[in-house]
Amino acid sequence: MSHKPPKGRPLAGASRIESARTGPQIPLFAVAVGVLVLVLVAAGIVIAVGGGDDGSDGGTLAPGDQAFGPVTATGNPLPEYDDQAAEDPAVGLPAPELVGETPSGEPITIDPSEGPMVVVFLAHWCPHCQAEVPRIVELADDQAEIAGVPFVAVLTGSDPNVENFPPGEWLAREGWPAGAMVDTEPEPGQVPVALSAYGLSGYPFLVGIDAEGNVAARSSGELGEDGLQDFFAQLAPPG
Amino acid sequence: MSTGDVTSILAVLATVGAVAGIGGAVASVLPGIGPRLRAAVAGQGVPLAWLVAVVATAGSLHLSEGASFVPCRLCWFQRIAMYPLVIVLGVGWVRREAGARLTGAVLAGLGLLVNLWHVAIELRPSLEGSSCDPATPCSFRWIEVYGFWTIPRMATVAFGLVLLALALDGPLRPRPSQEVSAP
Repeated sequence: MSHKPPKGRPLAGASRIESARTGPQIPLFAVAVGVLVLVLVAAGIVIAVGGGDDGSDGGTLAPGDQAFGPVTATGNPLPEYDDQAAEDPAVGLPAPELVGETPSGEPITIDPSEGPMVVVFLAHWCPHCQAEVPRIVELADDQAEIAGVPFVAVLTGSDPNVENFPPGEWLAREGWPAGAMVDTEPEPGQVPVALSAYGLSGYPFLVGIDAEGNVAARSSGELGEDGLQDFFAQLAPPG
Repeated sequence: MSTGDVTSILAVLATVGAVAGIGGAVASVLPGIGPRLRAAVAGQGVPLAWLVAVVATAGSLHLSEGASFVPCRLCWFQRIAMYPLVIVLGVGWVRREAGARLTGAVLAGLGLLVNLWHVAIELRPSLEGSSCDPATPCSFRWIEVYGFWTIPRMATVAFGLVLLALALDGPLRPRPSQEVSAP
């Protein structure tokens, strides 16, 4: 025999049985609604008095604060990196040339024909990039090289609403010894130009380019100190 | 109303909720106070949990649709747990269905498990892996209001309050109705 719940008006508080058992109740639901309304009203007053400034000024960035810039990629884009794949199909392909700007607005070119080199894609908000940058800085010698191989950063995926923005200032604080290019600010649904050209799949992203301007290796994610040394060492000129 | 205003309001609500939730959880196990608290909540747990679910769902939808914060993979699993609570608990409240409390508690419990993992990843990104997804890594903090309230931490409060309200309402099993319907 099933017990059907009684139909009728909504239950505003305890049932009659429960009321009889527990006695008069504090109308907690009403209290909760009251607190909610109170917070909303107080917030409304604060917003009205404060003018509702959300703190995002969206103003002009000072020199050195440029987070985005124009980027021209020349050459065929590399296939997206898949770290689960046995072999990277991009290895052996010519790396695209990137022409863009530094965070200071100066022109900068990443020319694969000047290899060997390593292009380091970084996002200022990514905790793995934040962990990897100090390692790269630590490993770099006075010539801004690791194992004799120069490197350059591409600052991509930047977001004005989160930590370490603008990314150029973040790199400067970290003591980044090499050059840096800022990627484009993509339209909704689009991806930044440099990121797309090199087939990035995750941050940080390293692309090793050999002396012929071809991709020698790619890596997504933190490598750690030993991994970084190994990555650069495979590109090191003989001798 | 800007995104900053809305996230500030949500952070205030999360703070109030956290205080109420922790206070309620502690009080519920204290001899003398616990039974009185349960008696006070009896019959009101479902509407209270429903109210929390409504606010959490509204906040979640605003952050994704209004503020354009793209939900990560773990966010979606939590949404799958939270959004139905509005319907399940709402209908259960109106129809006085005791089963709604158990269903709601299961949903909220699963949501809380995913949420705690999300909070852990937020604190230790290496748990997610060694790289950040370019689109929406789960370790990415869209907001950090008052230096503490991130979206997953707010969700912890929401899931916790839902569970607490349902748990304090009585034993989590359908009770046979003792009322007689009026003809």
